[in-house]
Amino acid sequence: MKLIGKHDWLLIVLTGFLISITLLSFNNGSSYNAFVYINSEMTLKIDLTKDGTYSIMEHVVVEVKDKKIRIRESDCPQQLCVKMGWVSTPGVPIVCIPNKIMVIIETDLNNLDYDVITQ
Amino acid sequence: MKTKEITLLSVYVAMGSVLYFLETFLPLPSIVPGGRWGFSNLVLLVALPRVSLSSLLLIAAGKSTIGNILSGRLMTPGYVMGLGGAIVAVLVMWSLYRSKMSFGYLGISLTGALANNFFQLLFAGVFIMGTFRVITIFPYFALVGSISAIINALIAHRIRVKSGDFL
Repeated sequence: MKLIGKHDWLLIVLTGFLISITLLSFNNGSSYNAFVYINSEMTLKIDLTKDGTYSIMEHVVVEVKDKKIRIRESDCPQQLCVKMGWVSTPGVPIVCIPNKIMVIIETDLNNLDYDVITQ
Repeated sequence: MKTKEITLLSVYVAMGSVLYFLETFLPLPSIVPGGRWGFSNLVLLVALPRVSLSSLLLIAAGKSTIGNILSGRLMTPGYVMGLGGAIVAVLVMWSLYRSKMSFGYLGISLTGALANNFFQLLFAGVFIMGTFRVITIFPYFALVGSISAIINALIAHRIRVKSGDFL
């Protein structure tokens, strides 16, 4: 097999297109609300303009500071959610799979740069 | 299965498992929590022109399973996600290689990485979190995956050219 085949440009363009289109569409607008999902149910809405700490479950603490959010403490074995650190981008979730927790800053539909949104 | 084929498959699985284990030590950008570079998929690329689809699936499952036993993560959600993603990636890469158009290592590697990332996140979203929302992190996973996919394609091509019948 060759390194670059005759039709490889198709796949390369497709990859670049998919990455850029998802990157653009998932990160639009600004928002100051974060939502906490436990077991895929929305359990807590956090206002990012107020600094503070929130205890979500036993041993799981979420901290808000300067419009950024992080999971400060968790009892999960690999601590991936804690290591992810501060998040301020809408649509980038902090996920803790062992505790089934997801913290995500939602894109506020009222602040988008679009004229009209059809629903 | 002939003896030569068994030997070849064993070597592929062994190399894949070791790469899978070693890459857990490589640091990753913090935007992709729990992700991995995917350098073990190099073995799948090297094997692609030489073995059948079922053997390819065996290599993918074997390297995930043995690699996870070595790093002590067997039967964790990450293992199930990785296995599912690897199997989907094998199916995609195999059908691209067998299609009538002529694709090379670079295109097949990139598409395989993309499919792998997408389906891992889909598995995580549907079966573990119960929501599709985690898919919003997909572009970051895909970007990191593309870097290692390009490196994999370059190395796999060199190995294919240099080793001939041996690997």
